[in-house]
Amino acid sequence: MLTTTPRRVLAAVMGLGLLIVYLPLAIVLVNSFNSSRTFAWPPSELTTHWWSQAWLSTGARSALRTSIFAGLGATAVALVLGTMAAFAVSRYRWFGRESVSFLLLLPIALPGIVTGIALNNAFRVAGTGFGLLTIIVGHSTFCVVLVDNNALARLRRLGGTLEEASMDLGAGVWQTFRYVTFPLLRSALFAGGLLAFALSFDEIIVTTFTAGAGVRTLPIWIFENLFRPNQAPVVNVVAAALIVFSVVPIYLAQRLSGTTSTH
Amino acid sequence: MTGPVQALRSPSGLDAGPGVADVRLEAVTKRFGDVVAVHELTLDVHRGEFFALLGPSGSGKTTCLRMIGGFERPTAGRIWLAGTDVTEVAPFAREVNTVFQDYALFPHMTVEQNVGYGLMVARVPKRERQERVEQALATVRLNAFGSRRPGQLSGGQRQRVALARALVNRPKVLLLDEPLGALDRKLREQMQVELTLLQRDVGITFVFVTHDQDEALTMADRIAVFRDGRLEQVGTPEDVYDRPETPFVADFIGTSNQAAGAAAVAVFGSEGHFALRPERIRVLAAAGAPGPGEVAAPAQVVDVVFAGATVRRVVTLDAGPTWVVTAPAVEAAAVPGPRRGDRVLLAWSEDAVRRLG
Repeated sequence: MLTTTPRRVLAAVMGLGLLIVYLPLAIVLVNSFNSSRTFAWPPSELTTHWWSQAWLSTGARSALRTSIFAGLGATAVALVLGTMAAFAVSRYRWFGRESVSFLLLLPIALPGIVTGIALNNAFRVAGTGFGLLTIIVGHSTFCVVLVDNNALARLRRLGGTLEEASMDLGAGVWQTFRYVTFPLLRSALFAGGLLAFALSFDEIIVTTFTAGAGVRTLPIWIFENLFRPNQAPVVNVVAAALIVFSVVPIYLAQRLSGTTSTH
Repeated sequence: MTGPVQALRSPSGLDAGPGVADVRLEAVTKRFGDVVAVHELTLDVHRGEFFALLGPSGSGKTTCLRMIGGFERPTAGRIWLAGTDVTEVAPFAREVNTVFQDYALFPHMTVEQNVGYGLMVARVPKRERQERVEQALATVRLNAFGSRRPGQLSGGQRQRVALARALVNRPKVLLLDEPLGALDRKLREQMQVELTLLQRDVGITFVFVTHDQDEALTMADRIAVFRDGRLEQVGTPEDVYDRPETPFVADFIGTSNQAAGAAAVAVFGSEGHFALRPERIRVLAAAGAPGPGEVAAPAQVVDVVFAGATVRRVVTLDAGPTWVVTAPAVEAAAVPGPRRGDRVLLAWSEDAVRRLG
């Protein structure tokens, strides 16, 4: 049991830490309503002008569309491959089983710039050209592990007897998956998918190397417009919108992976 | 209880007759890598029988059950169910249902959905399904719990759901893997009785795995004693208890005083391996006289343990071996018996001695 003084000190340190992280984000949010083009502080007047301007910006809108498609694509690939990998690792014995988890994890740990350059070279050699598809492939490399990890943890906790019980009661392989395994796995897959989408949505390094000339995701658009004084308020609005967009899936994912096997 | 039970009665149970093999293992061997879990095992379970696979852990009894259920494929040998060779048949195509050790109830379904699962995947019409689920739940006295989730039930209730979920499919054979292992002692004794009654009522062949010899003796019609993947003995509870065929069976089922070699010659007057149950020995005063037809041996009491219903004495025979003798505690209370350090005379009737080899 801590006495009062250390408890207050620790609370203050924690408060300070959280403040350092979240105060700048709050300022971005406030500034998106700041009527001053140079972000004079404190804001003398609040306006939604920048929000409507951002909404009308074709560059920002097409970048948003690209980001959403890339995120959905990478999430879909991650869901399919991640689930399959999790099943293979948790339900079957085979040569190289132990290494697969490590190999799946590696892309998320590798510096993005290395993955980016490597993929860029590979696409160039293969002659695929660059675009949305290559972005999706690039993002999938590090998104698969998120689904895989979530699904694997759930499958390990469930064990195999529920599936055996289902087969014992007359259900075939597909019926067992449909009625028993998938319903119990669903929330884990959803959480993994949300994380994958969130990660893909704000990725910039790998994206830079796999997007090619004409295609911009939202983070790339922000980066390109950051130092144009004219665009600064609109960039700020986009950043504020991104904060809101990212908080929701992360919050949901955390809630879902925290719950037990019942959905 | 007859109403709902009738509905669960296996059609095959009606023409039950003695000597009909419902489950037949024929020279079955199962290897896991280098480990031989089951070695050339041949076994017949008769129709309508309550059959126990008994043995210590790692003796191959659970592997046997899993092979009957179809979860393991034998390395060699054949498995027959009601006269059909099912060695290559998948679990979902066998007319066998299992009550798993951890019950394996589906946590995301209600009790009703759990019990109705087998009927649902078999596409039994909804109305009939509901009726049969209700009857099955009535049989295990859980009608009021249909809409609950397994997580909201006690261990004993979960076990009854697992039973209902298996029986509702009217299997030819019901397999039970350590069915009472997860229950506390009081509940276990109660369920032993309930299971026996239920089995008699539904008339389905029950094959259950246990490491608990009391459970096997109490519930089973016949017991197969396993050791290291082989059968030591198959017989009725009376057979394996009173007429053990090997030293292992004599020792594993109940307690047994054994003597071999020189000690056998000294105590029983003959070469060989002998076993004698602790409750078959009378403890007399050192100067006492054995009754007619009784054999006697002098000994010294090493320890006296009061165990509730019985009093257990550890004695060292002058001839060498240390034995255990038990007597009902009622007698012990009325007549204070020999105490630690006392010299005594042990007496037993000759027909209580079992020669093992």
